[in-house]
Amino acid sequence: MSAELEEKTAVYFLFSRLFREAPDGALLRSVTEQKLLTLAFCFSGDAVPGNTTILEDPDWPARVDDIAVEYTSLFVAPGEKAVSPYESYYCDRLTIDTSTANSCYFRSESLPEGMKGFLGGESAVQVQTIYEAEGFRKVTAFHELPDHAACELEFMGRMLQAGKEDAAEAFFKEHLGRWIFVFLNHLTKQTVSNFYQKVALSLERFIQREETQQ
Amino acid sequence: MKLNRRKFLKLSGAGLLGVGTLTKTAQALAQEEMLKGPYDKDEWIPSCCNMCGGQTGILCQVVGGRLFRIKPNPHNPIGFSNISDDFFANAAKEGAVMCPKGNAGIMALYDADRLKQPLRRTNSKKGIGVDPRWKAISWEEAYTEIVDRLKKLRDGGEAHKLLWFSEDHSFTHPQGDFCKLFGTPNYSMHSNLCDTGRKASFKILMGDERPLIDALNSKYMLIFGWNPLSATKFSHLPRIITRGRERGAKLVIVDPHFSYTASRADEWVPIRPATDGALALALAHVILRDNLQDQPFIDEWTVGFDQFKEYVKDKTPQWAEVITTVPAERIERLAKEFATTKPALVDVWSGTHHTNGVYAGWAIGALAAITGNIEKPGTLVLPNAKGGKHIEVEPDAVAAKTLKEPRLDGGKDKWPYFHKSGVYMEIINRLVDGKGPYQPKMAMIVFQNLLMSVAGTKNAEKALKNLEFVVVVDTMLSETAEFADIVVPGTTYLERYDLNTHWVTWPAVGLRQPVVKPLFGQPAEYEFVSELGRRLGLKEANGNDVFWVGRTSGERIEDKKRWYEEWLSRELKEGEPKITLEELKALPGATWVSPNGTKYHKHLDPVPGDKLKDALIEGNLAFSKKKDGTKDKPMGMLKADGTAIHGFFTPSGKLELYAAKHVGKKDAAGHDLAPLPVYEPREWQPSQEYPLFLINWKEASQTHSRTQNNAFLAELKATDGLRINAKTAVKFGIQDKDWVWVESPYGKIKMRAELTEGIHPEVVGTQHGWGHWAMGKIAKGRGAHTGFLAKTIACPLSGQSLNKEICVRVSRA
Ligand code: SF4
Repeated sequence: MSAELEEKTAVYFLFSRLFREAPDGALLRSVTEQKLLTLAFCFSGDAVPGNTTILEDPDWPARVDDIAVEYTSLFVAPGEKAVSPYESYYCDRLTIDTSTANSCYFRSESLPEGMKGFLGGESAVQVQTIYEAEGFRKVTAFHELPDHAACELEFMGRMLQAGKEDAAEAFFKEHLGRWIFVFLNHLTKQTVSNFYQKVALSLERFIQREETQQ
Repeated sequence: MKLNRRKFLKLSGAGLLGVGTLTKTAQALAQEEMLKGPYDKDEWIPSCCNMCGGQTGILCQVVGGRLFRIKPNPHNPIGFSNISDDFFANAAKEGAVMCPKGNAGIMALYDADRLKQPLRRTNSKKGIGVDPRWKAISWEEAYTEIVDRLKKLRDGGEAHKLLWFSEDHSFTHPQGDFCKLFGTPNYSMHSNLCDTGRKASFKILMGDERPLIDALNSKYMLIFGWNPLSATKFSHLPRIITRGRERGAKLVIVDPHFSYTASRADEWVPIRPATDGALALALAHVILRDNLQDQPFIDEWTVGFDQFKEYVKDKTPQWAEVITTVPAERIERLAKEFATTKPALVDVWSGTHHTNGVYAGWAIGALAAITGNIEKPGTLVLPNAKGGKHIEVEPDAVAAKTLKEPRLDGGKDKWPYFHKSGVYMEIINRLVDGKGPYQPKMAMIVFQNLLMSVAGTKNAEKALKNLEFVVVVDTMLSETAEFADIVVPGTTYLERYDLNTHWVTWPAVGLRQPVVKPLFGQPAEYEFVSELGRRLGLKEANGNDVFWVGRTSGERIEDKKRWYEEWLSRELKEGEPKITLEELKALPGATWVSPNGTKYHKHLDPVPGDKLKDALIEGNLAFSKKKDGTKDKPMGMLKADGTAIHGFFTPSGKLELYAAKHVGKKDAAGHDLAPLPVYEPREWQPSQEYPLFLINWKEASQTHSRTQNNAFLAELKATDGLRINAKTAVKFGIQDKDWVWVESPYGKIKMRAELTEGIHPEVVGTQHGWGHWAMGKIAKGRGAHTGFLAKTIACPLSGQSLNKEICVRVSRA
């Protein structure tokens, strides 16, 4: 595997990890000290150009608890601040058949085009099938849906790691690439601490570059 | 500055990224096959709805592990008819029904605002509008912390300081058993927010808590304070009522609000709230004055007729007109129609959520008794509901000690018609004023949103703040969950098991089963409870490890789902169906339906000789015995020849128009219990300052306060305003769609006025359940919550919460 592919793999793994659960102190230190978000942001050459703004804030490791609370409010607990990290939420529609509803009160018409904003839609089933076809399954300890950002990002990494660039490209086109920008856009729009803003910024730029390269 | 990309490699090399979300398969794939179980292919799985407590039979189409469609299950009678002949003959060809809420169940399952991981609050300050600052934690952390807290209570001899609240129709047995084995007498559930008032009324009259209507065969239906065509708790109700009408029955609805049912009725009788009892007594007055009663039935099957007749002597239509605002001539006519049209039925549900509600319900039931309209086709019929058997557990010595402590709400000693569901209002009041026998420390709240369901929201807030540790189990981050120290994500009804004894007039049991795996791998609630029991090491007195040992195999079972399957199997085997869980699953529609069907005149049924042999006899009544040989439940009435018939399960064995056992007894407020179904004005009456009655009701678009985040239901009806009579509105200078302030001494809410002719001029009202300030993006901010205006009071006889006893003033905002 080329060094570049190996590094890209690691970037996907890093972002997968950042969405999987709140970072612990050690991870925050690594990210901050090694300027990993900045590196991913300008993932183009061997080195970061001298005039690049550093994304990392030296405070982050000390704010590990606040970041955990923020992670929860963004990706776990429902509420005002929540930004849904699932492909289904953005891409699928849920229809319900009301033909058998006992609706002497309502004329409950089915909504033919369905409604958006749900979990566990077709995308979740499709990505699960793709993972399985490639010989992967979701680890039992990860109590999440298969179309969660962490899963899809990790799968990209896994494909690159295995040298299956075509598979990664197809997966990006059919799945990750369809929603990740909207998701990151929502994330940036939320009034979030600079940690997740920078995560969003860095991943967005990294993926944009990936997309144009493809 | 130089930064080297290769640092990524170092990072992943250092293992900081930990275990990922995916793993290589090999043997994992084999395991996965097992996990996928039968759900991988397209199939229809029969189950029961639980979008409300109605338990309608459903069929769920699952494709690739994903729920695709829900439709009614024609093998289950609850979605078709409560009368067996009708069900057996017509269900297959006509097909069953479910309501819009049942249809929308998929959206509850895949709701983006569902809880998915345990949460711990990091902000110790609690209150409405206070951000708990949640932190996601692992299941292990959640269990450890909850179990530590529980253990401390139990080890310190304070197990009774745990309060447990639950739904009344989902996995209640494991929760009740847990409480018993843990040692708290404070297990309470939803019913006292619903129909314990009605239960008490009918318990006094006929010794049964829940008679059902045979609308299909009726010729006259007189219904007080109930909206059964829309508030479809049992989804067969609209069908049987409209069929009854098609077959010639007259439908009369007594309600301050022109409900959907009223709009489909022959007659709407608008009435001043909380005066239904007075109307019923005046109807009885006319019936008895004009000798329209069924005297042979009265003579044989009632007690206290003379006292009742004497009591209603002066309850003339003119007397009632002043109280109820229903014109005297109308009362005369309705009484004659009701008494002379046979068969007729009369019923009441939650319209009696007032301080005088139990007596009112009793007076309404008395109309059925004096006209002989009980236990006959087309009348009020005893349910004969029989299902799985709850296998009782025996607490160990540690638990037995704290179980002797009184319930916080005072229990049976305080409330003459105490229901096992407890008295939420009393619990809330004691938590607030600290004047109970002890101050509870911890609460476990399972699918109960007390902040939205208890009368007096501010009080509920104070009560929750006075607890040291609160755990909430729910699928949504409800208003109440915002007061939790730990929130545990629950499962929807599509992800778990339950047995449902159906409310039809003959025995039927439907199975709820997981149609998909829990979305976030969360344990079903019975698994959660058994995990707590296991970690606490709770055992029965004889050392039996209830939470480990399978109830049919007798073996220790690691897998909690399997453990619960055995639990259900045993309940079925020892209950009415006498089959195993597997056998129930294999039945059409996973529903067991007794072939014996609806029986009328059950009071005339003989008591089997072998049962009678072991009975305890008192006068001419036979009772079953408890384990210790003392009197348990009524069993029947002895006849001269030594045999016995069932009779009614009241102290006299007959329908009681006069309850001798009330004499000399007090209700929870310290008032003498009346031996007759008296009319007394309710306590909170309109005043100059708060001149209007405020009522609330249910409709088909929502269940209580729990479904407002459902996208489809929100599409059907987006919210509700304050309905106000157009003439009343003019008096207060209010126009249609104006924003208005609705105020009581307890609070103030803003609502949109909806002018209508369809509400009594002294009344304003709204659909219950709106006004969420949490729960989810869809629910939040729609409509207003009237709980802020209510007083935390319970019916002094039954403990029923009185969410409809409110007076307000209304002004333009
Ligand atoms: S009445 Fe509606 S919501 Fe209730 S159980 Fe039946 S279908 Fe479900």
